[in-house]
Amino acid sequence: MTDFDKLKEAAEEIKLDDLQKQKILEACKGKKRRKINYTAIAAAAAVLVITVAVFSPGFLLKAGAPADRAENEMAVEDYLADEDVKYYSNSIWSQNSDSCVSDSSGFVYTADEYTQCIFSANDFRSIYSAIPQSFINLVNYEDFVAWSASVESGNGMAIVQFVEHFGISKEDFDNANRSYARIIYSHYGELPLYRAVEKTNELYEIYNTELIYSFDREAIDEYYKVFVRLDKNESGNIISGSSPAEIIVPEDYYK
Amino acid sequence: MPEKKKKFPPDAERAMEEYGNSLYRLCSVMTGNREDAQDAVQDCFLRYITKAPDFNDSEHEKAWLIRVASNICHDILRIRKHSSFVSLDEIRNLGTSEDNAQILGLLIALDEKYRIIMHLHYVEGYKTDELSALLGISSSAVKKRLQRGREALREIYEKEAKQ
Repeated sequence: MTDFDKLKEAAEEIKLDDLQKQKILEACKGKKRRKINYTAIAAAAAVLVITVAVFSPGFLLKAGAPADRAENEMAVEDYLADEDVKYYSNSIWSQNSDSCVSDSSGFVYTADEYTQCIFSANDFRSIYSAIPQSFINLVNYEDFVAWSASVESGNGMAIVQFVEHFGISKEDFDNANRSYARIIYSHYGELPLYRAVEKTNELYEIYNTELIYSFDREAIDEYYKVFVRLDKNESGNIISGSSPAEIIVPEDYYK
Repeated sequence: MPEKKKKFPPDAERAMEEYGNSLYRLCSVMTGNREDAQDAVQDCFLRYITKAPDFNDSEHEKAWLIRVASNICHDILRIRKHSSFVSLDEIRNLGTSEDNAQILGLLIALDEKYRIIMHLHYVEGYKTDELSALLGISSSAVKKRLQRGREALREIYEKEAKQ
């Protein structure tokens, strides 16, 4: 018996008994029910807001923009409201990959949810189909929601379309990018990257401003590909690929 | 919009029966702690239930669960970055015998990126090509990590033997 056989034998002693398995599943179902209840509360809140808007439109105007914005965000999924890292993602930008989004409506994700969602995308890195909150903050939220509902597929990277549609200046973009880099550094405690090589590092990726503002869609698509070269088997599943080199953001950009 | 037809519908009870132990083993090795491992498995299944991803087949499903579980463990480890020490008692508490706790302790003492790859290869039997697709790194990177993992394991073993 080799040492690795012993290792396998040792690890295989670790098991869940039937009762533990059952408890885990029950706990999950309990949490799911609570989550659905939160969504129901959010839906009820949205109905209330709409009712107030219809019967007393002045009330919302008096409430001011920040409150409107918070309510809009909460209407998406209110239990995500206290997270400091958020991303908007929409399946139409995922392009030929199994998107984490089940339909074309788009969702706001917390960092935690986004971590697992990015694992299903194949062709491009997660940043390709995401718009982090720091960038959404550059525009009016209602306009953003209206735009995100109307974008069409096949037009390339999400942030490029966002920049073009809202006419974001390079300077504003770069400031949002720096702010996003600082959030990554403080929230995750990890170095922000211009190019992530591994899936687990994709969350730390920020934008390459120069490349985005070249508006060269071919070069942008090439840069944000997960792999430079993909080897697939007969059933079309990826069996290996060559990754490009990782690029770390210099410290003076985010500190 | 017409509802997308699921190619391989998720079923939490079946998935727990088929992959529960495998995921628990992975989370145990990654976190080195029974409570954290159980929490990670629970979190993983909660995501499975709430997200209901559209799988191509059982392999796709298993790979998704492993990736989610390893990510959750990564987050747990990130939170307790400054207290990564795992005692032999904690390893025994995972359910291993005295002798096996020692050898498992060597694996748990490895750096996270070697630990996961060594576990998936030597315990779960994943081949380098499969690991490449699973972890999103090239085959040569997988081979390199396995080699470095083996070297690191040997170093830890020799260090422990000296003590």
